[in-house]
Amino acid sequence: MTDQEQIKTAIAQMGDGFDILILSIPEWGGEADALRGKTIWDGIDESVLLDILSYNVNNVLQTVRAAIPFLRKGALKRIVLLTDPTASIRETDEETDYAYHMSQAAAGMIMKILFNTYRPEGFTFRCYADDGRRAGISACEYLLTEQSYIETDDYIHSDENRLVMRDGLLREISW
Amino acid sequence: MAYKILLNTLDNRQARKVSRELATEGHEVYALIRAGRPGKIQMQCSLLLQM
Amino acid sequence: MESQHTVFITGADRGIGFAICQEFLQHGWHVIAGQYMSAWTELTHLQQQNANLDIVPIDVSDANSVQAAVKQTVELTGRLDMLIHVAGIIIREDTPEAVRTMLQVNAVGPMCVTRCFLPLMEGGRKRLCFVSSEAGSISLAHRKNEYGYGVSKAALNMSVRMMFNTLRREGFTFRLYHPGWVNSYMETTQKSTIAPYEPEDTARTAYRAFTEDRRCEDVLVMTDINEQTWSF
Repeated sequence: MTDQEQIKTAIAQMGDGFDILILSIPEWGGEADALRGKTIWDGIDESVLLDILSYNVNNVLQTVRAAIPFLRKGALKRIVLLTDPTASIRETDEETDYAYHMSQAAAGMIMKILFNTYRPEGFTFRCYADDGRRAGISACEYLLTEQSYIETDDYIHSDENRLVMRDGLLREISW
Repeated sequence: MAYKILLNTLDNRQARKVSRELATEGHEVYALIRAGRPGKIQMQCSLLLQM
Repeated sequence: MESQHTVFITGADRGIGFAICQEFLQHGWHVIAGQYMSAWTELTHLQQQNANLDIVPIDVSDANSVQAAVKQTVELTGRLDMLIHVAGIIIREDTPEAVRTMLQVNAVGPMCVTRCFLPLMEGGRKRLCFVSSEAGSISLAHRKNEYGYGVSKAALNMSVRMMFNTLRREGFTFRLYHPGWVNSYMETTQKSTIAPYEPEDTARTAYRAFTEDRRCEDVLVMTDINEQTWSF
């Protein structure tokens, strides 16, 4: 199980603060092979599923918690989620690899709660869904874009004031 | 402007690709490296590439 | 005369699950109540008044317990028409252990129960019902600083979506339900008193939502006690 203190000690090696935290869900080998390609009919091992799901969620949560004080001292205070369009509960047509996709949904929720909590403090957020196309904007470009935020008119719609998932063609993907 | 960036994992293809691209662009990129399986984690914070 | 329909309800000991049991019994269903808390006596008292109620122990977080519950259910009925997942837990802290427990009960448990009961449902009405929560709506999540419960319900919603993707084409139909803010026992052994709804209120809407057929069964939606739809 991940250890938040261990993560904090590791992050401190970077120095006082940093600017961008990039989150993604680990793609497991080994145990995850027991779940790969299996639909609900195929005898999913729930104990393996729970181990992987729990690790993935706690990894993200503990990393974020350890990182927040360091991000506060950074120049940008940005948190990024790298995901893909199968993270959309509304639109996905996936039937297998439950641990990974449930972890994606969990990560989306973590990002939303982070947004609710830290946006008032000036943190900014990006969720990039890589659909595998070699067209449009890359994840690197997207995570560094500014979102046309006008501080003096912050009521004017911009992506900075809502949590939105976009792909490389900047299409919005529903959660 | 060059930023200091941390990734929570490199056990993700997208993360590996993004970390390489960012490092190539001159950003200071770090990653938390998981050694071992759940329950036996050792966290290191490795500087990946720096121009 | 149409034969009696049978439903299995997890988390039936008290609160929303118990109220749903009562509602289905009033409408003439054969109810198999999944009991987790044997020391809680409401179900036993209800059974004394209802010949159509059976009680089967089940711990949704334990695959062995779930399989034993399926075996007992097979002895009680030749087929199951509906499965209603109510069992859930909320822990107001986000330690790794608490997060794991909430994922286990709220997200993985319903998958295990569904998987184990599917064969018994093939000859029945094939309706799968999941009590989720607005806390699992990523679009509309409003909470701050508290992650575990919302994360577990979002993971549940994803698992339901994936089961829908497989089972819909085999004739299964799905209901995903947000019960509203209900006076329940979710957090303590004392029933809360500050919520606007009672378990019986949400059970009435749940009965309609779970038993009525829809014109379009090919879209997975989450509906609530006011029959409104929630985005994911």
